[in-house]
Amino acid sequence: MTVVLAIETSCDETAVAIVRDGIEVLANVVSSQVEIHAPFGGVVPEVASRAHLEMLEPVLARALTDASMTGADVDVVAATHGPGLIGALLIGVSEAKALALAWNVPYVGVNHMEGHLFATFLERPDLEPPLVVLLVSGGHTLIIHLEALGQYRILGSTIDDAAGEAFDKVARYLGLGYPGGPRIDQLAKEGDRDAIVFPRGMLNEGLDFSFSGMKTSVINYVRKHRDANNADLAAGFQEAVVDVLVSKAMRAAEQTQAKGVCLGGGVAANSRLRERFVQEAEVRGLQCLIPDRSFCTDNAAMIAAAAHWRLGEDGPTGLDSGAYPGLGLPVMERWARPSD
Amino acid sequence: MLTLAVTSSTGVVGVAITRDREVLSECHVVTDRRHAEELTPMIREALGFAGVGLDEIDRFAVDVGPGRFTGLRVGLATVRTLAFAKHKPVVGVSSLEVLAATVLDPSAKGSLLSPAATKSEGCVVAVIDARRSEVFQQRFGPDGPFGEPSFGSPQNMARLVLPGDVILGDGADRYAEIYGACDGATHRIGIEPLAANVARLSVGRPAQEGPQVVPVYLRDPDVKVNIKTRHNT
Ligand SMILES: [Zn+2]
Repeated sequence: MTVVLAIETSCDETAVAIVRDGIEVLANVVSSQVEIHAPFGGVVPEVASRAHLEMLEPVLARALTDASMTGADVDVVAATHGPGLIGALLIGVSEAKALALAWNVPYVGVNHMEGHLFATFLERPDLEPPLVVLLVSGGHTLIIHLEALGQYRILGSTIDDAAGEAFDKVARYLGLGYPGGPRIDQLAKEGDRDAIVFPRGMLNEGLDFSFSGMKTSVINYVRKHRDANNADLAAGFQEAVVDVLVSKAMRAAEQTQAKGVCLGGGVAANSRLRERFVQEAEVRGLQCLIPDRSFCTDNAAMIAAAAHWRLGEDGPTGLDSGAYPGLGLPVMERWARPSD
Repeated sequence: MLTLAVTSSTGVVGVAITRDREVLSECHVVTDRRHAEELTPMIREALGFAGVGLDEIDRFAVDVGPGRFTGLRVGLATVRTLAFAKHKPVVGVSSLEVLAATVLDPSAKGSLLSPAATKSEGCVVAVIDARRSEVFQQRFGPDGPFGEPSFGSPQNMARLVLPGDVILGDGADRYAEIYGACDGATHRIGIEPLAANVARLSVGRPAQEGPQVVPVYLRDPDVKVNIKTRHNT
């Protein structure tokens, strides 16, 4: 039995989780800074770093209390060491390394994106690769082929804005506030998703994404139709984005003959995306897994799961390591693009 | 009383282990942005040199700024976490005071500066580089600091230096042309904060719970939204 305590501070969530054997979540504490950043309309790095330090002890203490544990029960300490905001990452990394020193246990630095991939296995450890994972957040839009644990190929990515970024920009343009994703999701429920049909960017061109043009078409539409209904705009835009995301993920699964499809990242909390993803997977007879919303958005349980596996694979990370803001997913060579 | 002291709010990372006023071990390294990489292994090393286990440490001390935001947060996160794990208190010490204490006489109780230094050289002006063409600065006399630490352009801050003062710190070194031109003052180049002085200054000061030891930023955060790296929605 291995108990991993993991820390996640790569962006605007201060999170600590305690997970046994990579799957059994004993504590999963997330303190969100979303309200601190809302007045700025986005994450302010220096503000995020200051808030992470303020929340250090309360979040750590809460996780230990939730798991009914003390330091003596922890076998491994892990932290997200990239990608993310450098000042924010360094709080979690410093905290984890200090705990490893104090408790005399190994430290494991974890790739945040690999953490998102492992969120899937927290709920379904039985899930069998090969799988296609659609990872969508404010910073990333990726289709990943997971051949086996630790063996990833990127099948598609965005050539401009990330999906979550496009949601934020459109929400800001429509005056819906921050964060944009949940606001659009909410408003879209009151709108007609077929009332305004926006173009589907690069829908039939490979597995890469482009959301910048879709955002521009919303702006152009509003300029021409000043009386357009915000709910219809939100619903129409969301439908266009979801359509592209789901279509390409399913196509990727077919092309790679994957056994299943998974969804991850903050945008995976979008209700319409979840609904369409399940429907389309069912039609194709694919196994489908969408982690609980709490494991889609940034959390430390997924970091603990990834750390558990990485420790067995690569061993501990040195205490002389730091944070790596531009860290990429450890991928194999890019997939030779199958023709459409 | 065994103290583990850390300095990390400038380009120097340092760790010292002291027993009361005696320094058992001391490590320093000049670093640019590798505070986090250097600090944890250095703590282990300093404990090893002193022949002391982390469990034996009675309390922790750390410089809390003003200084480099990222560096001082690395120091505070590390020290506060160790204190949390070991259920021990923390003493926070001003980084400017630590710098000024390089001319401190450890035997002169209650006095920051040795009487000899004061007589011949006047007061000490500690200057820490605040980036963005600004410095953090504070002036210290034999009985402690004059007023609160402040910050501003080196041109403006250098006007607060008086004849007979000794000027030191990486802020003064960076703007050596400005500080070197202060009438009747002496600019001592290359003086860095030392972890042993963090420990010395912590002696006799009230220890606090980790979360109560907070950074002294002085300057408000730059409100520059980073959309590209934002991750969650
Ligand atoms: Zn994330």
